[in-house]
Amino acid sequence: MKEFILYKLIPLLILAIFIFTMKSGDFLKQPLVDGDDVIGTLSLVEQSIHEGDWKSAKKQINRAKEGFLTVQMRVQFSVEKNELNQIGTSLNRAIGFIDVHDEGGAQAEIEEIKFAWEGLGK
Amino acid sequence: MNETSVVIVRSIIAFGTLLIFTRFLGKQTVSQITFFDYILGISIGSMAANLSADIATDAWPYWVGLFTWTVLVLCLQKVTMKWRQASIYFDGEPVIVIMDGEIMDEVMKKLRYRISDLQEQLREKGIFDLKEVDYAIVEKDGQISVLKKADYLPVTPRDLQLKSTYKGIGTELIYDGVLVRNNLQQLQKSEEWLMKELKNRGYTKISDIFLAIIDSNGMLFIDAYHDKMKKPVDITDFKGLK
Repeated sequence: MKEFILYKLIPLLILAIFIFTMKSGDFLKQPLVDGDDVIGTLSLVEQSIHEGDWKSAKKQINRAKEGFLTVQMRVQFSVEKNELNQIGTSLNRAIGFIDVHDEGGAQAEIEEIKFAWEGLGK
Repeated sequence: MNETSVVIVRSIIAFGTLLIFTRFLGKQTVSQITFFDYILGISIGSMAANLSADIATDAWPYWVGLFTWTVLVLCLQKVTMKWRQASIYFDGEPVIVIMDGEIMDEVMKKLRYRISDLQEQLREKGIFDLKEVDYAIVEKDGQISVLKKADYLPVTPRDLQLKSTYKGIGTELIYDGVLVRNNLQQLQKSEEWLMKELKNRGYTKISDIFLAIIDSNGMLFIDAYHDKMKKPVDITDFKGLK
C-alpha cells in the first residue's frame, strides 16, 4: 500500500496537478469574481458606442481592461505570452479610438479582442 | 504577465515531469546507454528546457511532446526486453574486433572503428601492448571488453591455492549521524549493542558518527564527523584555488 502511494499515486497526482495548471486557461478566463467579465463588459462598450455615449464607453472599456488584468494573473501559467500581449495591445488601442470618438476603429479593436479571447488557453 | 513567476511555475512543471518520467524509464545508467539513447535523452531534455523557459509558446505542446517521447522510449524498452531479435535490430549487438589475438580489420571497417580508437580504448583498460589481447569485443554502447591471453592474466588466490575469506557487502548502520533502524533489525542487532560498540571505540553519541558500516564478518567500520587528522595533506597546486 505504502509503495502504491509513494510510486504510483503521488506521481500521478503531481502529473494531474501539472496538467490542470497547463490546461486551466480556458476555464480560468471565464468570469469567476466580480468585475472580471471581460467579454460581457466589451458588449456594454459596443452598446455605448452604438448609442454614441462615449463617456460610458470610456468607463466600460477601462472596466474591461481592469477585468483583463485580473484574468491575466489567473491564466498566465497556461497561455502564450503573445496571446496576452495581443489582447492588451488591442484594449489600449480601443481606448485610444474611444478617446477620439472613432467608432470604426474602436469596433475593429473590440472584434480583435473577442477573436483573441476565443483562442485564449485553447 | 509576471514572466519570473511564469518561468518558475513552468520550471517546476518541467523538473517534476522529467523526474517522474525518468523514474518510469528505469535505471539504465549512463554507461549502458547507446548512441540512440543518448540522442533520445538530448531530445527529451531539449523539450523540457523549452517547456521551462519558452513562454512565447504555451506549455502544453511541449509537455505532450515530452510525454509522447517518453512513451515511445518506454515502448522501445518493453519491445527490446521481450524480443531478442528486436533488441538486436534496434540496439545492435556486441562485435568481436580481436579474435585469438588477431585484429578483425573487415569487421572494423564495417563498424567504422579505427585502429587508433581500438588502441585508445585498450590503453584506457591498462593494455599498452596488443600482444596481450586474446579477445576484444565492442559492446553495444561503444565500450570495449577485453580478455587477456592467459599468460598476461593476473594471479588469483585460487591460482596460488590460497584460502580466501568471504567478504560480502557491508550494511549501513549509521548514515550521516542517523541510525538506520531497518538495517539494524534485519541484522538482528540492537541499538544497545551498537552503543556499546561505539563506546568501546570512544564515541558517546550516534549523532557524532558520519558513517558506520558492518560487514558480513561482523566487523564495524566507523567514521566520525570530527576527523582525527589535525592537518590533512594538501595536494592543491595553487593556494587559494579550489
